[in-house]
Amino acid sequence: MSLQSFQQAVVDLTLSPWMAQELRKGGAVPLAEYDLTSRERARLSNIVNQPGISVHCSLSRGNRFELIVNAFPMTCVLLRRLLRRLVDEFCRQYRPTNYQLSGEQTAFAALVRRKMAAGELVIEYLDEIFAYEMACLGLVERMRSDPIDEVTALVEFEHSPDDLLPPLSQLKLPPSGLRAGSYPARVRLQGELFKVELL
Amino acid sequence: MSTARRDTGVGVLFNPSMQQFLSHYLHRLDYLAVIPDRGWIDHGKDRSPRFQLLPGVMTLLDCVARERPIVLHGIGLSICSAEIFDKAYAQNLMEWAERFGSPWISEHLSFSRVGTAHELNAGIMVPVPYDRDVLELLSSRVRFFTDRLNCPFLLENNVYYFDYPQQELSEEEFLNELCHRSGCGVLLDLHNLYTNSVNHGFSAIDFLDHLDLANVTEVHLAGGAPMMGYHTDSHTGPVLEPVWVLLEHVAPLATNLRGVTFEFHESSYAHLGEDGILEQVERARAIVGVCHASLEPGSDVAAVVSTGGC
Repeated sequence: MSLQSFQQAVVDLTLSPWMAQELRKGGAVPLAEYDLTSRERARLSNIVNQPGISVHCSLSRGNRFELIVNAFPMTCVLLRRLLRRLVDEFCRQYRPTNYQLSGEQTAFAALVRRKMAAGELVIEYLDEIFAYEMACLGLVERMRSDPIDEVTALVEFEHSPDDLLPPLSQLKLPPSGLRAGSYPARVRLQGELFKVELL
Repeated sequence: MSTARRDTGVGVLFNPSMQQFLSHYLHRLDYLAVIPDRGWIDHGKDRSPRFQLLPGVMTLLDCVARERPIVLHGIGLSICSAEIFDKAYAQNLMEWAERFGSPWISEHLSFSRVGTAHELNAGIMVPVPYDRDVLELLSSRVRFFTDRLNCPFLLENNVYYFDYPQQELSEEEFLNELCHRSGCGVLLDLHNLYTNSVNHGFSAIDFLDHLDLANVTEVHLAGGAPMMGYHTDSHTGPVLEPVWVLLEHVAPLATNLRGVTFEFHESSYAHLGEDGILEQVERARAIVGVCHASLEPGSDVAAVVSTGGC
């Protein structure tokens, strides 16, 4: 049981850097729930004081964030300074449950959606770009499971995608104050290439 | 390095950026290393069928397998997890080895999965302390593979950014003992070794002098980058010069070495370019002294690399 408990504590530390901070302050409380030998307890107290634990935790978070930024690059550009806080919140609320980290994108999307619904993320163009990237993610998943020549989805933009998407695809903000309107569009995924055409 | 070896191939670890590269240059590789976990969706232990193969990946791999051996490098087994030994995953891995006739398969000497009822994943390979109880645990699990596989099963030395105090064995002693007890081989990741030596202040050459290099079946080479005052195993860019020096040291001493694999992160593809990847391959080939014959399937080197395939 002890080795299991020790490994559980190391993974909890990896996913919850604030636990390492608590331990560094000298509190034994964070370890109370684990069934540890005195050597394991000493090891945990030692490693939280090594600077490398921060690198270890950051790399774990980076591996998780890579999946999110791959799926939502434009959303991340629009979130800008709020992104770090949002990722912190995401990491506190959600912990990966499988080795393929397969729930990360869905969980992050749910958090963004909740925040938008609660009015906590009022950012120009965010709603439509997030909807666009969700549609793209859906197309990628469909193509991954069943490769066919082309898959499509419909997205309703509120600003011209011709103005929005080119700068965002280069990870730059689009100009503010673009003219609003109704821009229904079909998104096509052919191979690895996305094409957007206005209807 | 004068040792001429015709039985050591050079390969690249596949990533999704490499599809075009493979269509042009597969013939320049002796084998392709593949992370099998990228070829399936794992729906979880309670689902049947659990593993859903991804048709696009399988088509590519079947195509590659007609030309070159495929070696498997798993990332999801978490063989050092005290609480979890995922036999269904292990079985799936072995079925892949059989399907592709892999000359060898490998995993990491680390854990990432904990918990049974509510599994958690660390999102990174976590090191284990080199203690006798871990050695015991690991030996029986490795034997699960070595008893069933017709090809070698290797474990890769891990990269670690923190160090457990009071370990009962050194990493070299642990690896030597593990191979002796269980019959596994070593996938010696020289960039991991370099990274650990830089971050923890020890001599990589001393490490190699204490490691039984006869157990080394495959070597990994990669680049890395600095972060937060540490060197990290980011797989960015070309192989670092000190890592080439380590390969020059290892190659003549690792008498059972069968493969040298270059690995890079897909984000480095544009930076490396096709020429950059081939440069790494050819430099590795020059070091291990392989005479690069025309590697049609069934040719000398390809056949030798395949020897012992499942």
